Amino acid sequence: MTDGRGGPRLDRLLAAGLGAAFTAALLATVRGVGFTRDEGYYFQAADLYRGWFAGLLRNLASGRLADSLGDAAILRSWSYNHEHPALMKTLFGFSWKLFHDLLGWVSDSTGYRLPAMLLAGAMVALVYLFAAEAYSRRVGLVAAALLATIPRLFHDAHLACFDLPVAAMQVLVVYAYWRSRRSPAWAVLTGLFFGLALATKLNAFFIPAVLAAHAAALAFRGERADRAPLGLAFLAMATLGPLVLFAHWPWLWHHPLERLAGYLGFHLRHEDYPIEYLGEILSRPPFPWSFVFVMTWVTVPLPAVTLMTLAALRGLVAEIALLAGAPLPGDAEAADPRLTRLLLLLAGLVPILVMTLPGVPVFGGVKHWFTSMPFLAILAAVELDRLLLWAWRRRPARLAYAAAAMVVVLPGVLGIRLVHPYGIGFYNELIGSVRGGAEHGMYRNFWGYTSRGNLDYLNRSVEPGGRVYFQRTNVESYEMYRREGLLRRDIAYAWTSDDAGWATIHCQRPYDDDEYRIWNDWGATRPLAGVYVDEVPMNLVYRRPSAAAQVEHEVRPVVSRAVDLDPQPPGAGRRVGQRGRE
Amino acid sequence: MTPGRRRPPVSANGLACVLVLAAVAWSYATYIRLRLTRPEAPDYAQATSYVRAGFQPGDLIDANPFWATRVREYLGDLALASFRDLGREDLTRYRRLWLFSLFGAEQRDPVRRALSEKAALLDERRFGRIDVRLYEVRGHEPVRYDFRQQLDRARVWMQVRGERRDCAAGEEGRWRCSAAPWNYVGRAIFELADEPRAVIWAHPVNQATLTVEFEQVPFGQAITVAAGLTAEAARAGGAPVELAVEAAGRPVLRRSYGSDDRFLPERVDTRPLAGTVGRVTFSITTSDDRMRHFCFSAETRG
Repeated sequence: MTDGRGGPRLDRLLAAGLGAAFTAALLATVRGVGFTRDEGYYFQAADLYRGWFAGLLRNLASGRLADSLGDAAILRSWSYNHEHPALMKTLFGFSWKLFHDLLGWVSDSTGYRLPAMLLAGAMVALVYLFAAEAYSRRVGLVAAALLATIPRLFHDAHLACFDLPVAAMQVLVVYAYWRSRRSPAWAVLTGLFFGLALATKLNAFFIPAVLAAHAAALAFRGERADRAPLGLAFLAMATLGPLVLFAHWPWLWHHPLERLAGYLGFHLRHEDYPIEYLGEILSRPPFPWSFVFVMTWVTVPLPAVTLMTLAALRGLVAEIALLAGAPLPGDAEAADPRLTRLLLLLAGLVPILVMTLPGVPVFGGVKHWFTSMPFLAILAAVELDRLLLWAWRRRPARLAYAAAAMVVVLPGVLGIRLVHPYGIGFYNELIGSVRGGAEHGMYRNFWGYTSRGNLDYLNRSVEPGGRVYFQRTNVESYEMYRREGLLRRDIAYAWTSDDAGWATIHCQRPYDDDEYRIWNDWGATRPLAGVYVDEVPMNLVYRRPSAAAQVEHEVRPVVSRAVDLDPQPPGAGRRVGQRGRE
Repeated sequence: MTPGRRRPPVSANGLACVLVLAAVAWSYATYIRLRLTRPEAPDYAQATSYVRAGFQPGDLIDANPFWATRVREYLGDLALASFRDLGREDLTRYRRLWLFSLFGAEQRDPVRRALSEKAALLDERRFGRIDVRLYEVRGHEPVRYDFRQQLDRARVWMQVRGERRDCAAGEEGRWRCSAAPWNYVGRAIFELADEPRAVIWAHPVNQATLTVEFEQVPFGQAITVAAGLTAEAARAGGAPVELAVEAAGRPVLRRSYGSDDRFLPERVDTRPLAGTVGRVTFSITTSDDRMRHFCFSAETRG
């Protein structure tokens, strides 16, 4: 259905250009993005896993392969952070080795982050390709632009984490499945990509449900020609999926079922981290089912989320009408033998609906349903296209169309410009932007990354050998700041404010008592520096007035969290410095 | 279209177009408004210089709205709060209030209502995009004795099955009552009822009475007592905590505090004792001490 001149070749070129442009934009803006808690663990895991491969090569050369393949050797390298599959962490490690260590093209941290940025670029490219093939080139361009300018997604696309990669993998699987109707090769690829998605993050386990619902609809509507390749796609997913997951992850090799159960069990019993939502602290289930809808509606740029909502509502009504055998008048997609709209609706809405289940953890917010965004962006672009054609009554001039699309996309760019590099704090125009988020008691900080903004101040101000309490920034991230040269090497990491002469405090309400403790214990209520987004504080620096005010541990108990305050806390908290998990 | 049926005045497409256009217009209006209302560094410099020059003992600065706290970098060494709900706060311990407002927050109904009840406007200045208003607090009752400040002069002990176990005095007025890290009495600042509160941490202990006693307390017109559980403890839930207060040997307050209590100050009339000095005792108990992060503040007033 590609329109215009150039055909599929031009589409592939455009897709590559869009992906490269998005990755380039990420690379150009990555330096200011602080390291999140989980990244610190993944940097470490990446080094461990890469080390195992290096050992494997050495042992292969010396004919002692068993030294690397024994369970003890595997456990030494792969038991660390085994609550997530290893694909991305392995790529982080190889990327660091190649692009930082050997070629010196990128900084230390960007070496780790690069694979996620490349996959984010690939996701934008795929969204273009999918939308261009299914609808039109202009729809593809708008869809890619809408997706790339979601400020929180743009922020997370910089990180050595799994949320953008799994979203990219999901697009890849759905796209391959969509193409598999006409090509057995794509059916096989669907299985392979599904395996890669499984190897990326847990979210991938929901993909078969999406595709199965779509396949059931195809069967229900009597699309008999689809059955053979569709069956092949599901067969490939059922076989290649687990095979790739198993093959890529040495940790599973010796005790596959037991360790797979451990991996899944970790997430079924995942600890809940507290998060501020509409002025309340959500710390344990049941979480409000509305969370996912409200958060989507206030964190995706308003024109984009309006189009997404209209598209989803219109699409659902049209699909229900089709199901009832009474297609809506003028429904141009009613005759689509691939049921593309239904596929996009399922892939866009199922991850969101999963989040409405009361026991599903909501901490971390929108990143858990980034997997929806590519499909909702395509639907939004289709909706905009439809409305523009309707409003013009005929196909508009290219320039006019481009201008209209720009008007819709630009608020996302303005949002990124406002918040970068503190994208987790983005709120859209509906709630009043970042200010409105603060006003309504919505979390704006997570994962301890905002201390990055105060490192220059610390470098200028901390006395030689001074100790800084980094609060939510974990020691792995601190080490990376030092490795990168972003933090002076003589500045020491203090595990609690009791040991510190300085502190950087993340403005994150569930942990505000850490700041109040500094007010109380240090007598310091005046921050010396701060990071603000549109006057909303993100991170503050305090200094202990004098070393003489240091308290004596013998008399003063170390109390940093509830678990220290109470003998039997019902919901055990987490001490600063302990490891958090995504 | 069926003959005889009227075309609907607004089609679904038209409605959708209107919605998208409204969303686009609202977006641009928002970004323009943000730019036009954001204070600049000179605004802060002038406004905070003005406040600092006029600030007197007994004054309080309130950053408004509550989250716009950059002013702390300039005036954080002075008494400064950022109340989420000014209307529910007891301002009478302060003589004057400086309302330091950004983004037109001084015009908001809850703020105006609260201040019209609690204070009288003395002065109003505008520094670029910052509004500074000075109010005189109505019914000001000066603090004669702040029990938190005087905590290092207190006696603290636990009564366990008839046996008195004294708590050991530490630095900065902290009293350690056992090896358990939470089992102490000391000055702290915690979030209680949505605000950081300067309080006395007094975690109760199973089957014991925790007692904090002050001698030579100068009595005034009243004793005010506010108490409750930290935000984290309130979320966790648990058994109620009992607080009993005696003044000059007579019980004056006995109250049970649960997770929903909002740290509202209670005023105990002590006019018959005004001008005298005497002993004040706070006794804290609970039936189950798990996650009972109990705190209180108290003052004699007037």
